[in-house]
Amino acid sequence: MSDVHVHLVEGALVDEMPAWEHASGNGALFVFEGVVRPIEGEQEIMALDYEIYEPMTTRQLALLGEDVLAKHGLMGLFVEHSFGEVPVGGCSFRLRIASKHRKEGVAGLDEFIDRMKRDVPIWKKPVYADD
Amino acid sequence: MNMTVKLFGNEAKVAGQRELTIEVDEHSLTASQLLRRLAEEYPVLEDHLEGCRVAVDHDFVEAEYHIEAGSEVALIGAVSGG
Repeated sequence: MSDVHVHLVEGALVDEMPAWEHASGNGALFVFEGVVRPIEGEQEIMALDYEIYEPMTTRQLALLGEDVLAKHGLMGLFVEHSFGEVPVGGCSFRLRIASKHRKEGVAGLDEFIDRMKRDVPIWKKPVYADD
Repeated sequence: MNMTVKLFGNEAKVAGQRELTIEVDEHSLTASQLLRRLAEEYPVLEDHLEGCRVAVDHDFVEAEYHIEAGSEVALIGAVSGG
């Protein structure tokens, strides 16, 4: 079984995280959550609407996860991302990384997010109050 | 033969469509040839194509990759996940 999990979820991610075999038992566990801010490009928004391109979005997230896992020697990686509308304050992205030690976990988390923002087919569109 | 190219994000907004079609005489054309053809036949997109990548069957391809008939082709511009 792969140590990389990818879940795409319609709407905001719920607080309760999906079960994961690496949630315990490793030296370090990182949980990063991306939250929709009330301002986008200096304008107030109500929500962000996320567009994806399946199955390419899942495939590229999985490939990226596998690459980052191998490069940094991580124990596991679990990524969740929303599609559809996520209101301000909602969580649209969650990345969990399990590693033996802190250093590689921090590096892996940083690299995954940088590369996801550059390469993975996900597009956000602001939703305004008068839309 | 017609080749369909899927559009997303800003490119779909600029083109006003989610799919474009180009007629292809050759058995295949390269990704860079595809971008040139899109610029010629859809001038509204021309200024946006420089930063775009071509995806074939859900993977990014290089400029000289030969796109075969029947492949699923997408134009991927600037993304904004996370």
